[in-house]
Amino acid sequence: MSTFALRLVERLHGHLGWLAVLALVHPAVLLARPKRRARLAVVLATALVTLVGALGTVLYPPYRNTLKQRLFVQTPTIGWMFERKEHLAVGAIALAWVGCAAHLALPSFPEKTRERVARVAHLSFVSSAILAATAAALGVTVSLYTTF
Amino acid sequence: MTSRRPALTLAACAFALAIPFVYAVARLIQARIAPEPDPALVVWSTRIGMYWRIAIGGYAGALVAPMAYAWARRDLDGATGALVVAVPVTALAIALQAVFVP
Repeated sequence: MSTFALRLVERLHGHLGWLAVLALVHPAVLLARPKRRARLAVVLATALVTLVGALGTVLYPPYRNTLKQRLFVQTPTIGWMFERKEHLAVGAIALAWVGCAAHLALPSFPEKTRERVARVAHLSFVSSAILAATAAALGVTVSLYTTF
Repeated sequence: MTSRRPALTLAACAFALAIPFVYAVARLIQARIAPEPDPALVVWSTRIGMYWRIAIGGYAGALVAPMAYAWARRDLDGATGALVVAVPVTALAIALQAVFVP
């Protein structure tokens, strides 16, 4: 991939990352009420955070080959921040999937377990939003120090 | 016996939850038993640790999902109760791992 393409994907990843944080906060707030349905918000937020993760996966090998060592030599603290961001992103994406699956399948559950499943969806989106926001904040910090 | 769809949903949730949980545990084990070389000293290692941990998490998830399905078919109440606990535990596990064992 050319440097221009890498920079483009990097910026898309960063901007969409913050949009994904906002998109995840939306169902996290809406689903606080167990009877509330928010299928579109849930699906869009999950799709967006997954897309951002996919872009990050595309960027990771070039980052590792061209930037990682330099970053760790110059500012190891920032290098470890980048690693932390990756771990948190894995959690944010997986928890969004859990929330999405739980919320979409909610009507198929018997009445007595529905409230618990709604709670699973809510907790998942709250956790996902917190992890994603932390990852995005770390990403911005790293981007102040290095770029493709 | 519970119908299939709720049980499949819980199996899918268990699969997705197993990925970050096992990822965090795998990173912890790796850091303790076989730490990666200092990133400042090597250009890159032959394997991308993050991808491997995700793959291991996916493998574990594929093992956990049928068990979660069977449990949910027998005792949906118990399985959903476990899931309510598993979500914050998993979130906490990956957060603590990211903070203390990056």
